Amino acid sequence: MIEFHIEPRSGVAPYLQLVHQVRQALRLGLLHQGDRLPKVKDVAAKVAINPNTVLKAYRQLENEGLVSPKPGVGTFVTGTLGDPATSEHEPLRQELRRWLASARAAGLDPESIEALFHQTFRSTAEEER
Amino acid sequence: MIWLTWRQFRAQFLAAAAVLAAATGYLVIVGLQLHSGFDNLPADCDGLCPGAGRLIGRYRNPYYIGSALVLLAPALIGAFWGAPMIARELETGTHRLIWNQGVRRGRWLAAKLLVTAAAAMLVTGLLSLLVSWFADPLDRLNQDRFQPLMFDVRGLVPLGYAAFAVALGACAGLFLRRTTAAMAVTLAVFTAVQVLMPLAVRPHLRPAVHSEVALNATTLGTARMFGFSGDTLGPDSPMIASLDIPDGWVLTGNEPQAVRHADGRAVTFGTQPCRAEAGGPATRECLAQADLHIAVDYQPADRYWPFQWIETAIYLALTAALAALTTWGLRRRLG
Amino acid sequence: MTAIVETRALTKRYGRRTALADCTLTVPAGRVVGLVGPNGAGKSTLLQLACGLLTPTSGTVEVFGRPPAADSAQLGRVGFVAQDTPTYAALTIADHLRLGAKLNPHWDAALADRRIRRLGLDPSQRAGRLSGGQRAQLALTLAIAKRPELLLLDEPVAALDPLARRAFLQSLMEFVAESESEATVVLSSHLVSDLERVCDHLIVLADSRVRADGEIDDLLATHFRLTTARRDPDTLPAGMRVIHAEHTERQSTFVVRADAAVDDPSWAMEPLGLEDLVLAHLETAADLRPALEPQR
Repeated sequence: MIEFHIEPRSGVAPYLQLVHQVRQALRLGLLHQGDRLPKVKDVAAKVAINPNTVLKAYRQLENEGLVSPKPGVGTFVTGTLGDPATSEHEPLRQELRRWLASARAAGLDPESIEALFHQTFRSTAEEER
Repeated sequence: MIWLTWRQFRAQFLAAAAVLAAATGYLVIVGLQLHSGFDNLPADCDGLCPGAGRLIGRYRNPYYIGSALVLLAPALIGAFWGAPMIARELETGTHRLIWNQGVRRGRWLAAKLLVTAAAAMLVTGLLSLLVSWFADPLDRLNQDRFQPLMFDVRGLVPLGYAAFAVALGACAGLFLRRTTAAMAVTLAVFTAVQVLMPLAVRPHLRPAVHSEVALNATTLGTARMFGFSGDTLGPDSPMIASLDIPDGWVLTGNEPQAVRHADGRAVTFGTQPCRAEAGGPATRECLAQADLHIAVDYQPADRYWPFQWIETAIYLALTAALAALTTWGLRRRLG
Repeated sequence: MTAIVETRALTKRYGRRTALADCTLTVPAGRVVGLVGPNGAGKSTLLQLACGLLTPTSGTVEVFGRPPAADSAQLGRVGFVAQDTPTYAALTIADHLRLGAKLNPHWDAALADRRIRRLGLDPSQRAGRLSGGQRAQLALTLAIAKRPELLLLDEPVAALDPLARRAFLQSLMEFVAESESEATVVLSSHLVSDLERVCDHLIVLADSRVRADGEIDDLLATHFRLTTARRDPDTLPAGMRVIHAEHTERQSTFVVRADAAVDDPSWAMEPLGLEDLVLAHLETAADLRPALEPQR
């Protein structure tokens, strides 16, 4: 079982914070397939958060195929998230390393690199939409 | 609702009950002595025998204390039970708690008023009964129960006063919203009404009896004053007297009236019959034979109980009017 | 979406002072609605009108389609936790619960007892000796055990320390979760971060007017901060409504309402946090005030 928390100043919508925390727990191996997520009511009372927010987060996770609800019993983990250290990521990581090195060689400081990455990431996401 | 009213009201009621119990203890002990003293008086003592004077003198203090208790009880109940009823809720904000329970405001007020007024009437009624029992011998000797202050502290009227004071306090509390202000206004208004009643209303509940009383040995015996008026005594100084009607209420009160001959002429110093040697009033024995008269306006003794009922009804009607006003105010305002 | 509370041109005056003027709004069913606005915006007046503690000077307010506090049945359906959570200082906690049980038709004694026990409160303790947080919890228990269909809370946490505030909100959210969207909650506060946590619907009230009204997620998805070289707001593309504008010599910062972010090399457009979103609406209201209110 995991515990949720909400950071009001993060600027991230509360339901997304919950989604991130479940994903994180899956990645870190804190949650496994077959585990039950905390009951909506318990999360609402514990975290002092609107139960609809919890429901929304669980629905989002369901849409992502990570969990599925069993009526009257609870919401269970059904999916997995790849470990970032798995071998299929390795070539991508190598490529990114090389790109970072050339960006630094071009005189970009870390902040500019980050801004460039985010901007490009966003615009490609837009184009794909 | 009755439970809640009782729960909130318990402490004040117990305090009043304690005062009542203390008064009972004191007046019962003293009263038993008084009653046995009265029983030892000669059977024909009409209030003027020497033993009666001594008895009245000896028990004057408890008599005053008892009467003062009955006189003050409704006023204090109005101030301490009536005034905080709504004002305290408004002051502490608890009206916002209680008026959002599943009971309408009108019912809340009705229960509060009924329980408090009933308790007030109970306490005042018991006190009045006790004091009436205690003072019974003295009342019989004094024969003054129709007099304004005595009328107020005997019989039924204290019940009416108590109910009225509670409703007055509640109403003042609603419109003033502060307990202390409501208490002060309750005391002031209640006192004003209590003073106005015997002065302006009670004498006119029934038309007064007007009578030409013949001065004889008996009536002269009850005369409270007898003499001549004017700064200097001359032949034209009118003869005046004031009479008491036993257990009745002489409306002319302490104001002495002119003594007249049978044909209506005023008796003066110059024309008085039975002239005394020394220039003072003549002896009563002589005057009793002289066929003199005096005009008296009064409420006779047999109107005592009708007046008690009517006045109680008036106060209960005022109570109902105040309760209606409070209900109306409670429903529409509170802003 | 059925309206639980509906006001039309609702106005409340105290003598010459206007507490709420011409307020028209609806509260949707099954939501936790945050009512936010500056002090004196009329939030408290609005809530007290909705529960029938006050009567309108003009306009109408309806709860479940009927006038508030019309009868005891109506009173039993609405729970109200007043500002500063008043309780009877001389009465014990048990007395308060008994009071609730005697005066309310649908009183849930088991729920009330359970809550008091879990809060670790001694039922024989007088309410006057409770801390502010405990008193607030007692007031909330009284309101919740009525099993209300509409729960109104007037700045319930404003006077509480952070710990008590969190505990109070936890209790409130537990109630909301247990009621399974059967109950509607309206909560006024000026602490936007609290509202963001517990509410799913927000009504921004300033000068008695509804400045913004909607699901919090929708509001967040449609409000943006747009930073650009100084320009006239009229030159922004259609579909962007400017809520608030600030200009320096070279730069213009707009808070705009739009269906989605628009990428343009000449500006940076980023989502807005709820607090800033509320502030933008309130500042706009404050800017407009002199124009709206003629000088007396």
